[in-house]
Amino acid sequence: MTEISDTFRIPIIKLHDKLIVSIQMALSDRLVMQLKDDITTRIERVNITGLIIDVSGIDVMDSYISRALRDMGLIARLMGVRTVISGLDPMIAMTLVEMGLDLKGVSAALNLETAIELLDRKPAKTRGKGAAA
Amino acid sequence: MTTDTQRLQTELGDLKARLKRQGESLEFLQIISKTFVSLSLNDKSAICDTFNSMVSSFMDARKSATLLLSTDGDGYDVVSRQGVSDPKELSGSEANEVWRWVISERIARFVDGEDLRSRSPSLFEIFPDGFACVPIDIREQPVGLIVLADKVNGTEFSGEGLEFMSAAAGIVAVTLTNAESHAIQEGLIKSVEQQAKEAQRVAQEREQALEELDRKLEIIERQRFAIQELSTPVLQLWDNVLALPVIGVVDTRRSAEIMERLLAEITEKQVRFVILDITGVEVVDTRTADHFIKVIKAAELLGSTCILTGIRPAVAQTLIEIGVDLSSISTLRNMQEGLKECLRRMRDLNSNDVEEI
Amino acid sequence: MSDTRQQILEILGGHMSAILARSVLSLSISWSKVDPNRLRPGDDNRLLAELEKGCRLYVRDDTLRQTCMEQMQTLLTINGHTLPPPEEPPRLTRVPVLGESDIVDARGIGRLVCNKLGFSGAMQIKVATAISELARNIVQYADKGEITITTLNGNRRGIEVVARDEGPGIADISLVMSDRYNSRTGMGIGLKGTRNLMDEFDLKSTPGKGTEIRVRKYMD
Ligand SMILES: Nc1ncnc2c1ncn2[C@@H]1O[C@H](COP(=O)(O)OP(=O)(O)O)[C@@H](O)[C@H]1O
Ligand SMILES: [Mg+2]
Repeated sequence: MTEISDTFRIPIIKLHDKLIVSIQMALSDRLVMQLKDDITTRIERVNITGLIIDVSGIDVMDSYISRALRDMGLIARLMGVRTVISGLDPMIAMTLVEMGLDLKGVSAALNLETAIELLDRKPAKTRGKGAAA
Repeated sequence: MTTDTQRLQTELGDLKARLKRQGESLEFLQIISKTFVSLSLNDKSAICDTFNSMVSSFMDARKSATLLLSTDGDGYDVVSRQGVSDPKELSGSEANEVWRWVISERIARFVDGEDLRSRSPSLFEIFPDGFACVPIDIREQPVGLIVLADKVNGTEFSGEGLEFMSAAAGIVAVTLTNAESHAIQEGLIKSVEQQAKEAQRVAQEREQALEELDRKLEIIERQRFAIQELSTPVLQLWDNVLALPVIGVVDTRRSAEIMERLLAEITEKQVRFVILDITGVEVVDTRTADHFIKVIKAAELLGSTCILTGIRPAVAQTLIEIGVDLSSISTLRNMQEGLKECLRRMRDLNSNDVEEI
Repeated sequence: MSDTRQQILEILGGHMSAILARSVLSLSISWSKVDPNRLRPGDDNRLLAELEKGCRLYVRDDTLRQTCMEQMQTLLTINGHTLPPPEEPPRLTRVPVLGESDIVDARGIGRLVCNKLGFSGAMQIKVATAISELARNIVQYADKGEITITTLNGNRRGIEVVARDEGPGIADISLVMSDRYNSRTGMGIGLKGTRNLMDEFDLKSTPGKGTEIRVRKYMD
């Protein structure tokens, strides 16, 4: 017997000097935890400078998921990697704000292209520009 | 001096072209992942087929093949191919020898014609100009490979092309491993959809009697919507700049509408800057201010920067008196100043690219 | 005590994987709005009809599926006459929250119900997010419990979500609802956030007995 939850993994793609994670499904807590682990191991193993988490396919973002995303960003930062979240659904953004949540520590970008631009810019220049606080 | 400038300009041009190509390949990879997730392909050959045709079209390769380790583990089966007429030529013992060799390197690489001629005359006949290939690894074990050859424009497979292929191979690998879970997921989605449809049908039957009433309500609703739209126009001021002049009283309901519309437009038009102009708002209390702050925060979560303009003197005074903190938000005199600021920041964004050189 | 739910699961489990059996059953329950443990006359057929749809997807072999359906029919006929009539109103969906994977189910079902009611996309997401918070609290702090989703058809159309558990309860409600509360387990913002997202929020909790949180969102 196969349980979805035991085999499914969110793909992490390495491209050039970045890791790209594209979340295209409803996130269970297990998937979130697995992703956090997977990202951490991948950052340790490969030489990259940026992490892009594309959340355009996520169903909802509650406090657990948003904390996990924030944590991924913080962990990545400790390992010298900057994180950009891209493609957040406008209705989810509104829900986050109404709940009083934010994604401190990670930047936001409208799409993959701007996410890459953001990461390719000099870190010092990025601060306070375009990125969500 | 002029030659220096010219050289810099060519370099800049090259870099921009490469950046564009990088962006394209990323978008393409995203499309591939999305395709796989949404198609929920469960069949190895269907996965390889879709993939083979997507990658070869992106790389402009006339010939391509995807091979997977055969069940006995001895050789490779051609699961999908394009532009190669006889699959037998690709899975003979001589060919298998070559596949084993290229896979053992574990990286995407290009094998040139000469090298190939000495290893396998029969493969050389199919790929006289050599081929690019990348292994498909599942849990660090190679399970197959992708072969591309004969670019339409005659160019070579570059480092970036090979890197794209590795990333793409990563997606196939994940898709193959996930195939089984996809099957289950697909089933779940289908059953939800089917039942949703069924429920809808039942509801429709019941509501036939109320149809007339509904139609009237709909007309009223549409009119209300049109009026709403008029009272909160979202203007595209510039290529990357939206402006939202808010006029009148902003209550909870209005602000929810404003927020919903603005955010939807930001995503739809993919704009980097938004000017929220409140010249037309005469009274601001804590709640209204809170609404504005929320809109601005939500826009930033999407990756767009929001500037607040047109705060009237009386409004500014009230805001300070009631202790609303707008210090985290950029505020400017009026819409013109706001637009200037957006254009300045946009220029900054672009000039940064040049500084990177 | 005869647990019909469990017995159905066992029958389904003989024909498909455990997770499929669970999802077929929970979807059948939510769409037929029948609680197998509180069967009224006529309920069995409605539930069976939904179960059959699920089985058609996962039990491809006709004879096997027929056997499976017959087993369930017999079970429901026997249990149907021995159980007392339900006291719950019919427009209600129950989602048992027994583990982490039920969180995704619960919010998905909540969203479907809102969609059926004609809630806007933004409202659907808000309700789904609130359900996700409540369901997760049940799993995290009370181990197990139940979420019920009721459609409100009175003069204000909307949806009511009740999260109930018999866990340890919340000792200091005003503390966890205060702005300065910061939990070690999460962000400490699940309940406050839920209150902000919904139109009505009511929290009752008795330490040692359990917690019941009732929230409402209206369409207008
Ligand atoms: N169902 C419950 N049973 C017992 N305690 C609970 C329950 N739900 C919430 N709590 C308590 O209330 C606190 C606040 O919950 P919440 O706002 O969701 O924040 P978080 O879950 O992030 O800590 C929790 O830390 C927990 O102590
Ligand atoms: Mg919580």
